[in-house]
Amino acid sequence: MSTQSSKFESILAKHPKLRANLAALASYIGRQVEAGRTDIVPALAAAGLKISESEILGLLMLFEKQGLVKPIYQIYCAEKKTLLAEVDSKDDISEVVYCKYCDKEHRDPDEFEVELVFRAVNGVWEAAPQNVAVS
Amino acid sequence: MSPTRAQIDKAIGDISIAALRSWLKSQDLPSSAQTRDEITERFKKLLDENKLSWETLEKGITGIEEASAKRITLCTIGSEGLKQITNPTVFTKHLGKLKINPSSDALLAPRLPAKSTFVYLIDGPSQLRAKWAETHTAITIDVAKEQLVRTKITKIVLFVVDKKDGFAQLRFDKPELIHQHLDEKKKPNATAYFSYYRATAEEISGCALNSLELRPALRSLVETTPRIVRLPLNDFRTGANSRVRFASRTDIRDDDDWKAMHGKGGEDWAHDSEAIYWLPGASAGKLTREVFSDLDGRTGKLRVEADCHEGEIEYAILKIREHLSKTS
Repeated sequence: MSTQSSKFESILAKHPKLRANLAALASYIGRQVEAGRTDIVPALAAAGLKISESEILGLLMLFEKQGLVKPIYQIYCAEKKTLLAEVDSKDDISEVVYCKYCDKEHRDPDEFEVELVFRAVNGVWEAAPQNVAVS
Repeated sequence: MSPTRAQIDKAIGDISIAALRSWLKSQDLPSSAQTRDEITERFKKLLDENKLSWETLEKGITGIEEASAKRITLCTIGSEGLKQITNPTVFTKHLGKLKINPSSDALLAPRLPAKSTFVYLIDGPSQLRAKWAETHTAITIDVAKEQLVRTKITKIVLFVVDKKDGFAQLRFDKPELIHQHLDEKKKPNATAYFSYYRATAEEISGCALNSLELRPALRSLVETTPRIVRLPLNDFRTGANSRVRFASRTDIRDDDDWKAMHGKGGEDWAHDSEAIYWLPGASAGKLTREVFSDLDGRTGKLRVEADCHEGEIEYAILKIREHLSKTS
């Protein structure tokens, strides 16, 4: 049994009622990683799986506890919609963010956007099954 | 005796000219005034000629300050909280503990209060409504004089709960640079301003406020036919997490490239924000003009323009609620 599937089974065992949505999300992450996309964006997972964003966040936090994904805060330029930086913790978000696309330092919180994404942990999802058993 | 210019000036305070003009228009009164002086003069003339009463003007200003240029957070209160606010005995006791005497009418807020000030609470049969006022300071730069210009502005916050189902709105004025809500570094912070009133609304209602996800409503508004909105601007993310902004002079959905893109991957898009115009033709007579609003799926906020009035906000929120319930 791979590390990923034993950790996933452990989540399922603790939360049997969430089985269907956990399985759907695991398949979604597996497909994203296979396509070369390791950042799991809650809003996109919610759109893709037709599950509410708050529920997706809750499920991703269960995956985080098992070390399957890790949270990353991504800082985007609000004007240019472009990624400027990423940090591991909210406390590490700088008050001043230099934006090379605007060639200026963004100081006003309205000038940048912070988004929480969950990065699929390296080496864990590559062998993930695309269709996780639901029942 | 009709009011003096100074009394009129004090009453209209720093309310936007666009909002005052829009209100005059809605009352079928002349609305061509362009400056603050002109609009004060206009009100003076209308009052002197008995074409407008002081009571009507006060009501109008109250309505404007509760609807004009608001950032509106949409949320819900849970069923337990709803039971509390709809039980007159329980809720009256709760308000008594907070030393709040409900009012029967909406009241005009004080201008430039020294600190956050509770204005009124109406505990009506179908709606709970509460209002606060506080003062912010806007900073602008006078480039010619190389000086910072500080302007004090009254800010209004309104809390509205629909007692039928617990749907709630917190309407905020835009925060300025300087105000009393500080972060941990003792600097004015917009999030602290929004959080303070959210907590105050929770205290006054005795209920926790649950945030709403607006993205499903954004998607539904884009995809609904026949159209109920005109959509000149849409920020969304593709399934592969590319951020895209489509802007059109009319409606992005008429653009062949947008159609092709939407047909290919629209199902997986996350709609971040939309600038929309609510169409009067699809409003069953509730709107007399196209009404602008900006919906932000990231912050869960709806923003309306300075000339927007209560009926227009209520229409926009009603439609958002319909589209939220369609998708839940």
